Amino acid sequence: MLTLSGRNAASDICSPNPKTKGGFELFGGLTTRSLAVRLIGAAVIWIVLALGAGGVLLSNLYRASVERAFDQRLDNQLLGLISGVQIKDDGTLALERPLADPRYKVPYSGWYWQVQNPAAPTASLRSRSTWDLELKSKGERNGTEPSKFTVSGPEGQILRMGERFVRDGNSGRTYLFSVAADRSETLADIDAFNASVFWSLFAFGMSLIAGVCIQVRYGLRPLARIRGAISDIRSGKTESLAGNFPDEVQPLVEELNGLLDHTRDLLARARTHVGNLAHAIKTPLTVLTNDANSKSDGLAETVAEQTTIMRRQVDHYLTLARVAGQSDVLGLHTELAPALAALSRTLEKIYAERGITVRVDGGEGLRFRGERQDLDELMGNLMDNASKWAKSEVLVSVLSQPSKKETGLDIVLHVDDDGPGISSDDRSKVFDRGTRLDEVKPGSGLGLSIARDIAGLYGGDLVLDEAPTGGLRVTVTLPGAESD
Amino acid sequence: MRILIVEDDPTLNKQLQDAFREENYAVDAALDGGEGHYLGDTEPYDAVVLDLGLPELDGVTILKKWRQDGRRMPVLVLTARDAWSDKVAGLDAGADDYVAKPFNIDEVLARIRALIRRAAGEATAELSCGPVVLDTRSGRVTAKGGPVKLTSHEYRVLSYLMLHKGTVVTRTDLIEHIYEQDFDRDSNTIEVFIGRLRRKLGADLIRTQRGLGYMLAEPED
Repeated sequence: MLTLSGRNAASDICSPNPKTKGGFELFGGLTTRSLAVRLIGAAVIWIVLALGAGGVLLSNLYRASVERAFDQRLDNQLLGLISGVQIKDDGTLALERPLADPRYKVPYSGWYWQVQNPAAPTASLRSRSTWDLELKSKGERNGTEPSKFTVSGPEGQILRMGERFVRDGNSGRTYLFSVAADRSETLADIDAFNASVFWSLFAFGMSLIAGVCIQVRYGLRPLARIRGAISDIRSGKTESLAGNFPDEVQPLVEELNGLLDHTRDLLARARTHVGNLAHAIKTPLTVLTNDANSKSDGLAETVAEQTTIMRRQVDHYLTLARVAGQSDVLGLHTELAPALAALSRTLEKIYAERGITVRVDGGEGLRFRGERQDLDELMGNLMDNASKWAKSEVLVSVLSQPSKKETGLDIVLHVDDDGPGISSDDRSKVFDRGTRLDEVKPGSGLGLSIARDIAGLYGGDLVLDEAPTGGLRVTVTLPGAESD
Repeated sequence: MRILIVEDDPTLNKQLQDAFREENYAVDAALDGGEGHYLGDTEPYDAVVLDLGLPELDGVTILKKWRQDGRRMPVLVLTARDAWSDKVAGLDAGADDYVAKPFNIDEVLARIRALIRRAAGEATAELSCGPVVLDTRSGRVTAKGGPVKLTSHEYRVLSYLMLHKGTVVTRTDLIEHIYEQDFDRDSNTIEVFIGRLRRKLGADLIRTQRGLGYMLAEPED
């Protein structure tokens, strides 16, 4: 069995690139070439920065406010202490109204007070909680305002201390009143606040990101629709992009539709020109050939010989020009059954003299993803060749199978004749340009080659084999689709 | 046998006319689609050679019109556009056969011969009636084994009668099928041709059906 598969660069270029396939999946293919990734990435960076800065600001404000409130409490305690201590005439101190907080009575509770006479440090007064602790003054005089600072206390406590010098008007002595409290409770408070701020901002950020993802998907959906529509055109389901698209995309869609129309138009015009050229050249060729054939001098012989060569060349290149170059045009499709039926009618007429029947089996509901003229040319050549050699019957059977390459179907066409067939050795020679294995039957010897070229242009292939009836079986595989 | 040639290239048209006249056909020719269509629509041709690429009316349109109007004569299509799509279009429009340009005129002659023969229901190229045999390929006529020389008009009358063997052919039929369009027709000449044919081929070959016309039939013995 001989397999000939035509590949060309153009079909590779136009086949969908697998890398860009997941362009609209969010986390499928993270490439900067994806619009979705760009939009979502930028949004994530912005959200993280903005929420982070907001969190830091919020935390700082809270800390400042908590510390202010703590200092306020210290001030109040200090005032309470000052007003509760009685300075006697002999300079000794007496606590007339003790501070209410019970923590001043528990040793190392974290809350302490102390009154000192700098002149006679031994005569100082302290809360019970201080135990053997002496609160060390910084000794800053700050007028009537208490000065505040942080010192380390017992058992790893960090103490916030407030102190104030008070001058006794009677004795003229100055006393230092101090109150200290453990800062750990405010720190715990701030930590708890920070944690709750972090987690709520985190949740908020996540919901924003999720929202952005949904928004980007929704916003880019028209692009995904265009992609689907173009793929439909490729597979032959539709001829143009239908439906309404958003204002930003609609001009693109219209341009694309215009381009598709333009391509079809160009193709039709190119075909017409080729046809005109054929007509213009072939009629004079006919005249020359026949005039030369009716005479028998040397000039007539040369003319006859040369016109035969010209005629072959013209046939060859015109046929190639007709089939070349349009196989990758998007959106072309041909119903298989009517095209094959018309060819079979035509061939039965052409071979009416020999009474050849041309049967077509199957093909209903299938489409060829390409041009009608190419299908006619391809199948016409194969069926004509089969009819030339058949004893009585040509059978064209159509099958479809899932495509190996892309989405869609492969159409498999068997063209069988009940003629003598071609031996397996000779099958490979069939495709040598212009080779004819016979010199008996009329024809240019290009039929099978042209058929193979056309199949190749569409990324299909053509295989020669033996038919069940003993004749030649030609199997062509072509890109197809199901009819609507 | 009378045929119509519709071909816009004057040289090719002339070549075709000459070739067909050489084979004893009565030939009418048209150089454009309009005239071609008119002639095919009004004159009873035995076959038509029709070029598809014509000015004014193109060949496919002419064919469709003829077939719509019930003209059933066999049509051989000539065209430079020999893509299969064009062949399908031509034959689906009602053509009976197809010759792609450039062609050899012998090919066209052979195809037309075959079309006329098939239209008359004859399977072989040799027509025979009793002792008379007419070979449509070579244009030779033999009677009782010996060759017979016929003039062009005599040949036309005989071949028309042989293709319609067993049916009555009126004098008008004969006039319409043996004379070219601009020929000065005289119905009396038909009787002259019939008389000469009887002399050359045997008196009982062509019977006269009084008031109707002539009929060719196998001898009854």
